[in-house]
Amino acid sequence: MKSKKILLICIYAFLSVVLSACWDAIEVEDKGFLSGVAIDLAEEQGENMTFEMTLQFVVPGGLGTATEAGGGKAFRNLSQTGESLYEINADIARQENRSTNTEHLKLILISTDIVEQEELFGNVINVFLRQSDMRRGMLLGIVDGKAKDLLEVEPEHVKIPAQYISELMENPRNTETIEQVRVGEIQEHLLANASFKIPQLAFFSDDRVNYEGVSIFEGDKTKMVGTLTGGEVKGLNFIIGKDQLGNIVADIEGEKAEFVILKGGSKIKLTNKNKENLKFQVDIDVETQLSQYEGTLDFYKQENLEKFEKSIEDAIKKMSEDALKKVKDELQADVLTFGNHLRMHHYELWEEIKDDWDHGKNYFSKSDATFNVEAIVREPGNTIKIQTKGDK
Amino acid sequence: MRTFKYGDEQIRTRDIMIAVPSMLIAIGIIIFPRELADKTIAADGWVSILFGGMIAILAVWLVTKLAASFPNQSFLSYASYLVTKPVAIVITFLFSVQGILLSAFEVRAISDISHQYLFDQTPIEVVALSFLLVVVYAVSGSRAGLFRLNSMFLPIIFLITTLLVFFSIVFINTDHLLPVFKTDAQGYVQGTIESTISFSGVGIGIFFFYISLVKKPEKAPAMAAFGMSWVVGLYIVVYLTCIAVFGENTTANIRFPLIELAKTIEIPGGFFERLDSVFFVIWIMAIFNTTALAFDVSVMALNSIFPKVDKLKIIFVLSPIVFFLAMIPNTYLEIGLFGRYVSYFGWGFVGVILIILWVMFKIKGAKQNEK
Repeated sequence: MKSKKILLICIYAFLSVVLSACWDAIEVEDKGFLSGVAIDLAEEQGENMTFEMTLQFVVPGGLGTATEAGGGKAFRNLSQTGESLYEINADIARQENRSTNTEHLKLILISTDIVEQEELFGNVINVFLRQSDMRRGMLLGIVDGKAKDLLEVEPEHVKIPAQYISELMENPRNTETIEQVRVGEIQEHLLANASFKIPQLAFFSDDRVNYEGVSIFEGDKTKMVGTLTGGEVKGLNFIIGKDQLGNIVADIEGEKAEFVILKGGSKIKLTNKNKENLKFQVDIDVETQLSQYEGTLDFYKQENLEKFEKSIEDAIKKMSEDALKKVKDELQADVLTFGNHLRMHHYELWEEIKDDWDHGKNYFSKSDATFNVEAIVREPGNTIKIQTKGDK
Repeated sequence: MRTFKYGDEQIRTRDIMIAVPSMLIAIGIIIFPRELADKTIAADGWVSILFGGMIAILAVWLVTKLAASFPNQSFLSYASYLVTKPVAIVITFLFSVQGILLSAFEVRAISDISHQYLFDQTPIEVVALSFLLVVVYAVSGSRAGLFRLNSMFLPIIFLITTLLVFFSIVFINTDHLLPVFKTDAQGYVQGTIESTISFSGVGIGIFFFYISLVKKPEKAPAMAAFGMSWVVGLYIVVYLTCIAVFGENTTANIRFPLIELAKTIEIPGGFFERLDSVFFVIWIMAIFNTTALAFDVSVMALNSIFPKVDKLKIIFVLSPIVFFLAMIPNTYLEIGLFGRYVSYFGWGFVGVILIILWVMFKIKGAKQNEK
């Protein structure tokens, strides 16, 4: 009986060791939460490629609580240079009193210096896709200039620069921006050797970051080949049929009119299947609302309404053609989803040409596209006229 | 010879229906999207799952039908009647070996995955041991209790998986689902083999044993086949979600697609932002079910060969063996290989036994009816 008791005590003692599972316990206070990473090329280059990585840690004390604003800075940036990101990480760990926690990492900024070189982008991204505690939802941004400068930007209303930048990329209400790009999606493109696009940001002032445009990456060499800005991005969005919310300015009989896009979409069709001379037709449908018009046309008349619609159609067509020209002839990287259309709807043809799509024999640049735009003005806005100038 | 020692531990046919998915949903569902995406184009893999599922449903039905033809007889007793006693003992013993191998693999796989995603400092042996001890505790208790545990866990598993799929909707890109039906016949065949193994590699054979606990097993085959169809449904939904979110190329290149899916999800609002921690808890429950059932069948099989030995003694002899086997593989490749062999063994063995027993049943079963 006694020996049984001793045995039981031993078992319980052993179980309390085994079941508590406290090997990995790290108190929240001891964790250094990483909120953003910026990667640049180091200014002094060694024998091998040398990177400079900046990690942004959250300083919880600076954040304050819901009722009480925190004092001081809410972030802390640590930079180091080295030949691999892991090496840099180890260097930074020697300067940080808390253990790095990447689970809440939301933002990765990479400088154009890195991505303009062949293959480097893939190497950098690799780390973020392989680490098991990294999430595939991390947002990517390309920075024109020094990426680490962006992590120093201090807006008045958001305490952490990385949070500000990721929110900036998450909430585009503008035709000149594209949807946020997650690291997971990049793996898709890299695996398929497909071209892709990433938002491009730039330092604007001490409290602001500017969404400059869209970086275009060529899939075969995985390097950045150019940037689309302004109207080109709009054209790109009209062709793809996504992210079309925003305004559009059109010219009606010499007077400017501005429209808000309510709804839009596009449809790609393949009209010529000869692989040396592929021909696409893009049908773009847009519904708009008049937001600003200083001219004198009475848009309650059907014929004038048609004039309005015609002018929007022309404007969209112009932007789409500009975007097509730049992407197809100059950059030669298919970010217009033409290749994706072929994969989805003309699979046999795609299998035949996919290895020479926008590189090699480059069937993409040999292809052509026509645009067929259908625009309607759904609503005229609240008022009919603001000023009276002679009616037509 | 009466081997029916646990006569008071009757279970109902509904418990069998729940035990089928509890047994079959395990490590396989975390890995299979990768292997299937590798063999088929776009979302075509669902066809393979459907075919593989039909084969598995048929297999489950055949197993339970045969066992249900001998109500309240242990596997050893009806197998002895069909293929003579020495052969039946060998088969029973092999079933026990299969159960041990399977539990060892599940123990290893769950410790490995939790090591990768949850605790990277805790030694793998400790994780495996703690998990195994809980399994041992469950198995040493009443067998009916094990089935009750199944029916408690299973709804939670389905609920969380449904939630997972539901919250993935935001991340779905329908472009990934096209084109349809472009896979060639070879791809479909390979995919079907892949999914059949993933379904039934893990021990449909246990139902040779468990049906004997059912008092009125007439309805058991239909119930078991119905339970199996849930698994097929779950696999198809999970597969389509993986493909729609990641695309075929990426799915084929993610080590544990289902876990990555759980990690992709971000529920706005902060509090439930990370669904993967919940998902892990649930998945450990699912694997616990499988391991406990597999281990229990080993014990049951050995117990029917050595009816005089105490059940607890068998458990205490087997658990170190399971632990030892689980610790043999060193690298992820060896674990993968271990899993492959366990599946092949499970599938091949059950297949062969199923055919032999059915043939003998057709010959001898008819004689019995003539009497």
